[in-house]
This record gives sequence, structure tokens and C-alpha cells, in this order.
Amino acid sequence: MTDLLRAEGITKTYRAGNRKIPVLRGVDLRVLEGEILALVGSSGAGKSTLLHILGLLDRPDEGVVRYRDVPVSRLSAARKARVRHREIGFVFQFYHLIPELDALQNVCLGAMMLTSVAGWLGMRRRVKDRARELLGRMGLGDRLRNRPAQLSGGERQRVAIARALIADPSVILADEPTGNLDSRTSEEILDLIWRINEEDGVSFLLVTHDAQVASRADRCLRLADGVIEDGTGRPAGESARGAPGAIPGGGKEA
Amino acid sequence: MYTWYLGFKYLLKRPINLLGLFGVLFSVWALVTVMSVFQGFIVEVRAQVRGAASDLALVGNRMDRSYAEVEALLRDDPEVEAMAPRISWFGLLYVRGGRRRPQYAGETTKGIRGTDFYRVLGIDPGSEGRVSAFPSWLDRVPAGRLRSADPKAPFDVPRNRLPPKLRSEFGWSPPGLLMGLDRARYERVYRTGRPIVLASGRQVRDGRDMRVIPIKRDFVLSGTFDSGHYEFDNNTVLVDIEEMRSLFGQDLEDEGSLDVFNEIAIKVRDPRKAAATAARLNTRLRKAGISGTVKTWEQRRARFLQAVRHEHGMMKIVLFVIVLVASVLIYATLSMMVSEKTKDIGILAALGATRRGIASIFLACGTATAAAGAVLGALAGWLSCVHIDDINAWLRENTGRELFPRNIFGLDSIPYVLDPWWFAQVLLFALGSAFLFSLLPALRASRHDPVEALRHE
Repeated sequence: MTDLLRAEGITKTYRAGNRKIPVLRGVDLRVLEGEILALVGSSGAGKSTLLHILGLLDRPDEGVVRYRDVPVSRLSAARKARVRHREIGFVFQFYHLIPELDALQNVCLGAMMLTSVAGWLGMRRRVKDRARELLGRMGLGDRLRNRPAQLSGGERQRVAIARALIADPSVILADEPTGNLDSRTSEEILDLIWRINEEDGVSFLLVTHDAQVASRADRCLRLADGVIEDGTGRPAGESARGAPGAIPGGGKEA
Repeated sequence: MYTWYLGFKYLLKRPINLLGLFGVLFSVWALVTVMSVFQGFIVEVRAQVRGAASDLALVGNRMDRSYAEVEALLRDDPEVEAMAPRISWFGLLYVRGGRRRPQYAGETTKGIRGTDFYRVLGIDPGSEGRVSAFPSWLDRVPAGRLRSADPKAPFDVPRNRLPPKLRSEFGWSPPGLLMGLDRARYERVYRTGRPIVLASGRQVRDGRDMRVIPIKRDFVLSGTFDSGHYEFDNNTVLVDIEEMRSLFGQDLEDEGSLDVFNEIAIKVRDPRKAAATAARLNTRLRKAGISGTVKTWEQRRARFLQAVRHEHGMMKIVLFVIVLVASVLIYATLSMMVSEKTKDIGILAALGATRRGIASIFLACGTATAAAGAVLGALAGWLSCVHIDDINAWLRENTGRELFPRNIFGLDSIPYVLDPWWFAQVLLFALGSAFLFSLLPALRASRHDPVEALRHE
């Protein structure tokens, strides 16, 4: 068993004028290698904030985020950006594609972040092939040249997932990935996520308030009042797929 | 990589950026064209002034020394190649049958014909050609009745060209006078042989008083000249220096009289060393107690040249300010873009972009806009310089206005100088100012909190 991402004692307080609004009050959380972890909670519970902190986009007031035991939340901004690019993928509720770029370019953009112009010229063909392959896996092989405005919500989310995957991250943080989709499309997206998890061994942290999603996940946690509770009534370590009582995540990778 | 990639994608997909591009294009265009033509004009004017002036000139001599004496003194200098004496004076010319001037208050006649103030320059036709382009001034006059009969003796008028009254039996004819070609036409003088009266005066000390001795002398027009320098041509008439000497009381027959002068035109071997040579000659003159100062042609025309140069400088500043205005356009469009692109900024941060990278996108945008505009503007400027005469002709035909009053300066075409260094300066300035003006929105973009940008749709 390996901890991929570990949050220890995360606190975050927002300020509205003179009032302090504590959002996270000491969150401890682990994402294991190769698992799908669901994080549920009522809206405003701080799920997105926690996600951003885990993704190194935001800075916790206290506590530390460890990636493979390295306290990454304490790195410099440039190094954080590097870790974010190499190890962490993001998928958002509103897809957040660049409207000026077509599907293929949006995916390729995910691989461009650290290369120089010369480096890009060297790897361009390889990245494009990989992006085509990824989009093909997403079922978008014939929509490579469409811009986001010409794609449906489900298709956009597939592009976003492909973009998250192109840099070969080990964990993808998804903020309500199906929150804006109808139930059938949601189902397709979720199937896709599970397939990717199966085939590539990428861990997922799904922030959701869809109970069905939560029940499908390997583990489920609930964020309430700024702390983590067990989400589904199952003990916080028990896998939905693994044998009862098995070590979390251990059934797959180790 | 993504900075350039996204920068260009944004540029291409957002036509609003053309605003800044066109701003820079037009300003650089104007800057390059106007300055190239202006520079051409300066070069042309300098050449004109230069052609009408000798390298050095001893000016302000009190006409108390013999030219032969001073010439012998200055000839020793290794840099002096040739010299020619001159007497420069001023006077009123009455051109018989010339253009009618307006009537002045108190005049009883019906208006005065052809009286105007001129610089009267006495030259030695034999030596003048060695220090200035004098022979070519005569050559440039087209064949016809205004041309000197004999360039070797420009002040002689053939008998058959004289009006009958002046054809004396003893072979004597009045002394000749050369007038600027355009000026002669302006005075409605279309042939040589026209009588011209010079009236002037000089002051002499008479005990404690100053007395004015009037000078009057009859001339006939022996020809015209065209030095190419409109101002010189317009205001100067040339006569034989011996005539001027006799006007100043020097008797040519008298052994004891001096071959006086008040200017000496000097040609030097190396014009680049003219200033040093002038200084050396001045010390020599001072030691010998000879009045007057040797000046370079630039010093003599300093006021005129400086005026042109100042105008040039002012124009430059104005046009550079226009380039700044164009950069402000870039600033405005970029600021707008940053506000619209907050979401993209969040996305890029999530994909692993650093703040610096995000700032670079907008910097690349602004600088690339300026670069494209500047290069296109420079190209347009270059093209419009090369075709400036066609543009001018087109403007004259369609609007009746001329871009450049080339007739005043007697130019066949509008001059221009394409200076690569100047082009480089303009391009650098345009790029630099666009860079600085892009920096502000770029920094603003990089300060955006990605979390804030991602939170809301």
C-alpha cells in the first residue's frame, strides 16, 4: 500500500470583511495509488477548496500536503507548478477548455507547459499522436478539429479528461465532473473514468454530491463542518471492489 | 512553449488585436516615411547650401589689405588647395522694365519698377571656379537668351545683345551682371543686355562723424546662373570683383591701389579637417594682423542648418509620441483580453503554468502585435518612400495639393534617405514601448488567483 497524496491537518479560513469563515478545520485525507476515492459533502462544505489545496493551486493556512511523502505544499511556486503538471490532472465541472483552441489543441496544450519552443518542435509529432490516441479512446476520434463551442457537454468533458491525461499524471482531481451533465452522459463519463482507472492505473479523487457516484467509488469520504467523516457508512478503509476488510487499495497495485 | 503558442492563438482568433497592430503599423509608417523624406530634404538642402558655398571662407575683412598679400600668407597651409577673392555687399537693383512693385506712401511716381534689395557679390571669374562650382552654375542655365554668351568671360555682353542706345562706337560696353535664373524670370527679364542700375552706399569716417558715400553704377545683364540653392539664387547677383573694387574707390590704373576684398573663398584638400584648418588659418591671420575670420561653410550657414535640424528633431519627437499612443492601444486591448481570459488563466495554472508563464503569454501577445505592426509599417514606409513621387503626383491630380513643395527647392523629385539604422531604431522603439505597455496587463494577469478564476463559471 502506498499513499499517493496525503493531506495532514489542513485548515483554511476565508475572510469576509472582519468575519473569519473557517472552511477546513484540520482535514486528514489519503489518496492511495490506483484507487478511486469519492468526496461528498453539501455545497459550501469546502470540497472545492480542499481539492484546490490538494492540487497545489491554493495554499492551506496550516497543515501539509504530501505527494509520495514529499511535502509538496511547501515547495516554491515554480516547483509546485511542476508537480502539478507532472503528477496531477484536473477535471472541472464546467470543463474549462480554451475556447480558441480545437479539441486536439486543447489536449496538446496539456503537454506543452514545461517544454521550450525547441523542445516542443522535437516532440510535437509524438504528443499529437498521443493526443489523437487519447481522444480516440474517449470516443472523439472524429471530432479532433472541433472547437469547444461545437462540442456537447459530454464531449467537452471527454476532451478535458484527455487533456488531464496527456501529461501522464498519477492522480486526477475531478471537481463534480458530471455535475453539469444529464444522467445518461454522466453514466458514460463515469464509465470512462473507471476504464481509465482500470487501464492506466491512474488514481481519481472525485468530488461529487451524486450518491450513485459515491457508491461506485472504492472509498467514499464525507466533508462536513470542515472535517472528514466516513461517507457511506462503510468503514473509512473498506474498498467497494476489494474483499471486505482488505487493505485499502492494496488489492490492486500491490 | 505554451506561452508563444497560446499568445499567437489568441492573437489570430481575436480581431480586436488588429487595432493595436494597425496603430503600430500606421505610426511606424508615418515615422519612417516622414523622417526618411525629411532626412532626404536635409541632405538635399545641405548639398544645395554646400554647392553655393566654398569649404572655408575668410569673412569680415575690412578691405584694407591686398588680396595678393593675404593669399600668399594662407597659401602656405598644406590643407589649402585654392582661393578666390570676393567682395560681398548689399544694394538696391533697379531693373529697367522689371516687375512693378507696389507704390509706397509718399511716392509720386506710379509705382517703382524692379527695385529690390540684393546681395551683390563681386567675384573673380578666373579663380572662382577653383573654389566653388561656379562654372556649373552657368552651365545649368538652359540655352537661350538668358544664358551667358561666353562662360569663360561671363561678365562680357556681346555687342549685338546690347540695346541700341548702349552700343558705343569705341567698343566700350557697360559692365556685366549675373542674376539668378528664377529671379530674372520673376523680374520679367527674359534676355541678356537688359540695363540694371545698382544703388548702394558705404560709410566712411569723417573726423568724428560718419558719412555715407552713395554708390551708383550702371550694369547690363550679361547672363544668369543656377547654383541649385534657391535662397542664394534668389537674393544674390554676381558682378566682376574689379567693378566692386572701383566702387570702393580703388583705381585700377593706380599702381598704389590695393586689390581689396572682404571675403576669401577657400577650398581645402580634406573637407573633413575643415574645422581644424580654419582654426589654424585664423591664428595665422591674427598674427599677421589681418582682419576677418575663417569659418567653415557650416558655421556660416549655421542658423539655417540649425533651424532645419531643430524642425527635424521636433518632428521626430511628435512621431515617436504617436508610436507611444499606438502602444497605449495595445495596452488597452491587452487589458481587455486579460479581463476576458481570467478563466483561461485559472485553467493554465491548473495545467501547471507558472505565474511567469502566464505573464509571458500576454507579453508575447503584445510584443508580437507590435512586431507585426512595426515590420509591416516599416515595409509600408519603405514602399511609400520608393514611390513617393507617384504618390505625390496622384495627390496633386486628385486633391490639388502637394505632399512636398519640391518646386521651391528646385528638385525634380522628392528626396528621401532610407537609413537602415533609423529603421532599426524605429523598430526597436516600437517593440520596446509595446513591451513596456504590455507588461502592465501581463503582470495583472499573473497576479490573478487561479482558484478565484476557476471557482465560477
